Amino acid sequence: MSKGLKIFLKIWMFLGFAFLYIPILVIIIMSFNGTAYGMFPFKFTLEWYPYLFTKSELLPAAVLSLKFSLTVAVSAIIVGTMAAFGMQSMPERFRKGLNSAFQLPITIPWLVQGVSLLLILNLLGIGRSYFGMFCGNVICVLPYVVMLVLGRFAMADRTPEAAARLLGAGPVRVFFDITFPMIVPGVLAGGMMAFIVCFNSFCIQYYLAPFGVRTLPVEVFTLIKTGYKADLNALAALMIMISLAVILLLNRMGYSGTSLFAAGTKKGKMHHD
Amino acid sequence: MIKLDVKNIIKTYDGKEVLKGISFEAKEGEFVSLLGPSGCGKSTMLRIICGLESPDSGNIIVSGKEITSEKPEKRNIGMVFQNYALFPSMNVAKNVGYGLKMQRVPKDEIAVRVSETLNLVHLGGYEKRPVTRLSGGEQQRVALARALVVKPDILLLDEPLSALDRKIRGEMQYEIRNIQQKVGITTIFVTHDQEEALTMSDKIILMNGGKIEQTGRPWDIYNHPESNFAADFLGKANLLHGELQTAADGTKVVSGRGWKFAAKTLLPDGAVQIAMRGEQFGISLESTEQAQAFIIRQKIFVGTTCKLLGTIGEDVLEVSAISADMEKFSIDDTVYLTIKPENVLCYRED
Repeated sequence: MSKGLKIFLKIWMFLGFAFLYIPILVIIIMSFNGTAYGMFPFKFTLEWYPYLFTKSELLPAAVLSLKFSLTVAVSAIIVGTMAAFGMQSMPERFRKGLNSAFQLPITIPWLVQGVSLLLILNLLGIGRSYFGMFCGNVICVLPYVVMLVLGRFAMADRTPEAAARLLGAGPVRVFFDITFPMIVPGVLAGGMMAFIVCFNSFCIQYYLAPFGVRTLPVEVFTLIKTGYKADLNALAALMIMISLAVILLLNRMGYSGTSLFAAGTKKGKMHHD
Repeated sequence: MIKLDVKNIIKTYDGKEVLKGISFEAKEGEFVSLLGPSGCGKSTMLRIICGLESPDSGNIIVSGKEITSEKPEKRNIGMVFQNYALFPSMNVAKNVGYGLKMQRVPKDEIAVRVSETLNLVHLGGYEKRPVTRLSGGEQQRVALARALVVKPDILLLDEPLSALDRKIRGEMQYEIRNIQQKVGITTIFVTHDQEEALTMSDKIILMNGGKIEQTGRPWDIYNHPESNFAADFLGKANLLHGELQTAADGTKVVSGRGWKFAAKTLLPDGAVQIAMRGEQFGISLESTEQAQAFIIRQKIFVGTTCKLLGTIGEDVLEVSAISADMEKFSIDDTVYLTIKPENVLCYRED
């Protein structure tokens, strides 16, 4: 590779990163801006942070969204892991067919899914409700969990399970002692995906939330229509900090982005030398 | 006393018969090798013995007890897998102690037996180490300890040495055999490496295409292979086609395309295939009456021996010589080969 090309690629890479991170940086900076609507002149202030925790309507919505997404993620982990565990034990052609059927909903626009779910829930007489919103979101995030857990099964070495059987462990024991620890990275990754997707799923929540209940995406949407204060920026900045902390913590525990979402893990991989 | 009795095992996968009626037995404390090329069914046989696969028909009997339909966790058969199959989330002591924990052995006793067994495999003091940080040879020993600590009726070894490098493999061959004799456990060892089977076993069961080709002690099976497959697989043999004739004095001679060897065989005259091991030739620089002219085309240094590739008549032959003699021969030289009649193994042309 020529030197010129190398420099060019390096600049290109920095441009890519800038494209990703400048908007986030701007949000963080704007959370310290005293002028309303993120306008200039920039006046440094810390007032939006106390405001967020006292007067703002955003915080209750954020807490609701966090609780709700956590419930959805945990439910999706349980259902999705069980589904993946069942699927991996099937003959290959069934598994492939089922897997495609599971992945297909990812391609269906949420707008369509939201409307159709509302239709069905209305027909069933459930209508807009917490239960409906919960089911809708679980449906949306389930494919991610199944995909990531199943991927983990596919790349895992299955002989330790056979070894445990021969040492006297029954199938249930083997699952909890050997199989589950083996797929934990996949389950964690699936749970994270489920949480993030649910936290963001405006369409489903907009259609299915009970009247008067506003999750964070719905609240933000309402605020943007009416004109928002910089407390939204403060909330965004806080959320970025929390996500960063979670990622750092996971890295400390030995899970990197690649080990959770792709092949070649740090944990659980034996080196032969 | 017969410890393991395998009776007429048949197994098919997708309509393809991978085991076509396998029967053999292993005596108490015997080290039996299942030897054969990959795909011959030897690993499937092992998985049927321990219950990870079930046969279409046939019986597995251990110590006189029928266990063919017993679940694997109820069989008390230990196994060391090719890739060791250690539990990555547990340390060495937890790995080795897992089987005892399943038997609900008290904790203090587990600790004692684990460290005893680790000492047996020369890994004393390794208890707290994570298995993911061990070298291949160490992982191998942990796997062996884990299988032995529960005092199984039978120990199964599925190509346990194939992932190790050459030097460690040699050490482990000796080591495994040593431990096996010390513990006195009946062992079934699966391998595709004839040298491993020959050095380690009491008995070799040679398999090919889902059938047993030959069963016997290493020495017998090497020196008296009953088929050309056996002759070739247990140390590469030269396989040539020829015509068997009985001379007037009753001696037998096989002649081919420009060569002739005396042979000892009970086969009737006619077309035969012969097998001759490279190391069984005598090489001389001078011609004698029985000797066959051999033109050296290539010399290959392999270590303690060297291979001479060349031609006799119109056929190609590989002859082994001691490396110290290598300088005596040069390419395009003609030397003279002799071989004892009993080392010319004749088989019916099939």
